[in-house]
Amino acid sequence: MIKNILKYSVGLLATYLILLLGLSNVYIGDYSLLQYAIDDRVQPYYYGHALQRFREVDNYKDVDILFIGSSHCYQSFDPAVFARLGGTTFNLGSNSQAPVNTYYILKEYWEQLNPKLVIFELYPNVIELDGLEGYFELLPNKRLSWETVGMTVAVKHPHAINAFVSRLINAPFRPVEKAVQRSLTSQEYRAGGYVYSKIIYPGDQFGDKQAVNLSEKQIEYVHEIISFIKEHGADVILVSAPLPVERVAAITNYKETTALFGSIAAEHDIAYYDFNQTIDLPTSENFRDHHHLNANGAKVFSYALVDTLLAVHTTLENYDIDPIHASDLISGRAIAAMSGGQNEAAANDFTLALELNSNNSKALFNRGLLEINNGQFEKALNDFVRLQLIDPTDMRVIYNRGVALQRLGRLAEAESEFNKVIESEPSFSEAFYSLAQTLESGGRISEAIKMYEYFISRADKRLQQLIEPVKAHIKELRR
Amino acid sequence: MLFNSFDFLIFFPLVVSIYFLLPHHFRWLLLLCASYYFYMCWKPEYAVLIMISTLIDYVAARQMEKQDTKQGRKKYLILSLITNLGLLVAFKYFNFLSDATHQTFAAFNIFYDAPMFDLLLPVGISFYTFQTLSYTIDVYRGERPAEKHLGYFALYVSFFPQLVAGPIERSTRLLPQFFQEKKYEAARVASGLRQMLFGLFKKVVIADRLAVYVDNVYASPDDFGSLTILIATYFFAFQIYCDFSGYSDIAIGAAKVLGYDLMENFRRPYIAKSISDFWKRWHISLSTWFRDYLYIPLGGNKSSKIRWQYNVLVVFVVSGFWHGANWTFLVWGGLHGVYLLIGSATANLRYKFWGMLPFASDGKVKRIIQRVLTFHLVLFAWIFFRAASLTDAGHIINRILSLDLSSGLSGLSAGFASVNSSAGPFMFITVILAIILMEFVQTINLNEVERVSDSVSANWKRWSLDYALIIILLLFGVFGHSEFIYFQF
Repeated sequence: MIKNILKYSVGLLATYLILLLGLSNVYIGDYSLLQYAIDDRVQPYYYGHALQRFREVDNYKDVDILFIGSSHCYQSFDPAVFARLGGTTFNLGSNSQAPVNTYYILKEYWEQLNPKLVIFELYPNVIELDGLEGYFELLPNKRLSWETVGMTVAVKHPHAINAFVSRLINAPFRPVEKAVQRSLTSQEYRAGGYVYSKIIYPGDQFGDKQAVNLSEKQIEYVHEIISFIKEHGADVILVSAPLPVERVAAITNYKETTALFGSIAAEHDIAYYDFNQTIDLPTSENFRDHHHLNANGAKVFSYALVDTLLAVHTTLENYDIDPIHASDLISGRAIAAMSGGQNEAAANDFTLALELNSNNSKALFNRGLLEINNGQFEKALNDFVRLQLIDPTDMRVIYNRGVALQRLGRLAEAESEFNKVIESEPSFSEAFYSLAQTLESGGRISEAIKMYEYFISRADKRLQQLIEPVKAHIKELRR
Repeated sequence: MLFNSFDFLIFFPLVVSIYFLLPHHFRWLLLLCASYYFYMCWKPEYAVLIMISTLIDYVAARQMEKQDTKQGRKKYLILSLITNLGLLVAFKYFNFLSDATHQTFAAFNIFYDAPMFDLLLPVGISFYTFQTLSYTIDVYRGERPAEKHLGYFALYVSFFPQLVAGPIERSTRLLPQFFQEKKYEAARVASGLRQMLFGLFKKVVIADRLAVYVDNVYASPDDFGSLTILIATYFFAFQIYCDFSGYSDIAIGAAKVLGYDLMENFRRPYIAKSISDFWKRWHISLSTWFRDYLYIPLGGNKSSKIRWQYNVLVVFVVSGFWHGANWTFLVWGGLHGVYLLIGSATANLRYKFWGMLPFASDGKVKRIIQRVLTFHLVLFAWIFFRAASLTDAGHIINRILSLDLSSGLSGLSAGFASVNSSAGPFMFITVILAIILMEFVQTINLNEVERVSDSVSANWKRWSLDYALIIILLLFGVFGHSEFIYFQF
């Protein structure tokens, strides 16, 4: 009987392998017969740029931040934004990558990448998959490993086994090392695993209204992944990238789904950020299709995520994120907010920037200006005093200190500051104007008139519009 | 737990291995635990319903035996009927009946706020309820003694291979088998495994692939032309057959591996030459149940012609209702009843008609015409069975009759289009070939091949067939943990 069982098994295995080899090498259009049979609709070396990503990752070691998740992962985290924080990042996202796939990818690359922070992207519609589609995307695009075997078993689907055996027996004829990424005009692969696309979604289809039915198995793997990362001493946060508001509305149980993600995070004492509740991205500018961000949206989202990271994770040095760069980044955004009239947001950002780097003179200076505009003269004076300590020779600082003193009625001190500016930098025409105003406030009219006249003779192009009103004012003073 | 799942792939060999290692007197306990575990994988709390049915029927039957009078036995039979049918009505029919009452009142402008319950239908409730009812009725009729061993009786009610979708076994056939010591027999195990394999093939390769097409088309018939809707209807006939007979094959095969014989449930129904022949081939365990416990008690054939017609209609309408709480099932059952009555009324006429046709003397041609006609009558009734409502069924029929052939031949595979446009023709051809293979296997009759046990050619044939089924199953199967259609009944 044993002999018969053995013969039976060997015959079966041989028939299976021969058929598999044949089916996987006969193509109709873009797909092999095997792909048709097993419903594998993934074209290797194509849309997800997984081939390039898994080749490039071999050049990376000890990264600071690792992004992992679905296609929303590799299209949402703009490495250029994160690079301004300093440190290195890599994105290991891939199409339809369900947590069961993520778990084995993480295991395979953990020792090499050794990340300090893992940003784990969660897209509700991927958490309801069985992981087979994500497996089909990963299998042909990366080297085989024991983790691939583990993933094949964990996906628990006969077609995963078919695809794996096919990959194995075809490996000598079609090695992944010789595969060539098919070119795409709609998107571009950027170093670090990011896929950049400037497409703007013009459509009005955002999917049928229906509830997401989360897979218990995938939820278990989310727990597994978090535990794995924490056991290896790294930090992890869960993130849901922005979707068009119409897409969020189409997921009828979106709130319940993200609440569940939140509870998973709370269970592990980590953070979960759903950016669909915190930032508002107009669909017409920020999305490439009905659920993926384009380059513009990715940039805005990445800034928002950096901001969140900086605000929440105070021990930035853990991630090798340079606080000076971070401070510059935030103060740049604050200046933009200030010029847009968003004074409160600007003030908060300046404070954040200065918490990160108390010597950020740009933040300090602009906050001082903002405070003068807001009538907070004492605060402005403090900031300019701090600035003088950083750079005592900066005449703009001395001048604005004088302005703050003048608004506080401390005229003698203000006069002294303006004089310092005029002596050091006679072309600083605003100083003549402000000195004239100070003298006038102190009742020293003739001296004030003299300074106003100096101002008229020295005013540069920026200040030309003030000349006529000043002349009229001089006339009034003379009367 | 589903037969077409990885869990079952582990569960079944484990149970079989332990079963044959255990001494006979412990095996009932193993099978009972395994059966409850199997059932509880769906919704553990619903196992309580099986326990209630088991206990009530065990006690009722034991008490019946102690009664001297028929009247005394009757009250325990009523207790069993009320309990079992009460559970069935509560979980399966309450909302339907409540809504029907509401609609009736509404027709007379009377407002009645019908209560509705949001209850999940316990898997297989119609099957195990009928199985256990047959036992109490048999004891009441004195056709078998009450079972004394509660464990064996509980196993009879919950035996996992046939618990959720039959075959609906009679106590006289299955219960005594539990007392017999089963020995491991390699040939029997191989035969059982082979039948399970064939069942899986029918379910995973054919039924689940056809389901993709049928579900697409029946969900939005307006998106498809007449040809596609007609193909979907043909496909549904094969889907439901492969789904249900596939389940029965796995159930019978699994029981066979353990040493038990379950009754045959399907006998190639689509080659039936008449509707009455169809019902001797389709869901045999249910049709014989209705024959023995409803049709004959109503009077059966031994009554006036009008009474007989009434009996036939009642049995088929009740059979339709057994399948589901929806008017569509009632119409489906009713249609089969009407077919039978018309068939009976026109028997002489048809006999004369066949006699007039010159080619009909050749039995083959006559048989083919009869089979084609019967199949299409069954097919028409399947439209009502599959549609979500009577309105939908009417719409489907209208769409077929509209003869919208604008899609041309591409309409053949259009039902697969939403999956992947380029894969449609491939899937269409694959599934047609799979159906041909199934018919081939059914024609050659696996058992016949098995009987010629040791010859090299028999081995070659058997193994070739096994290899074909296993490899096609592995490569072309649709594995998505889809439940069997009859689980909902």
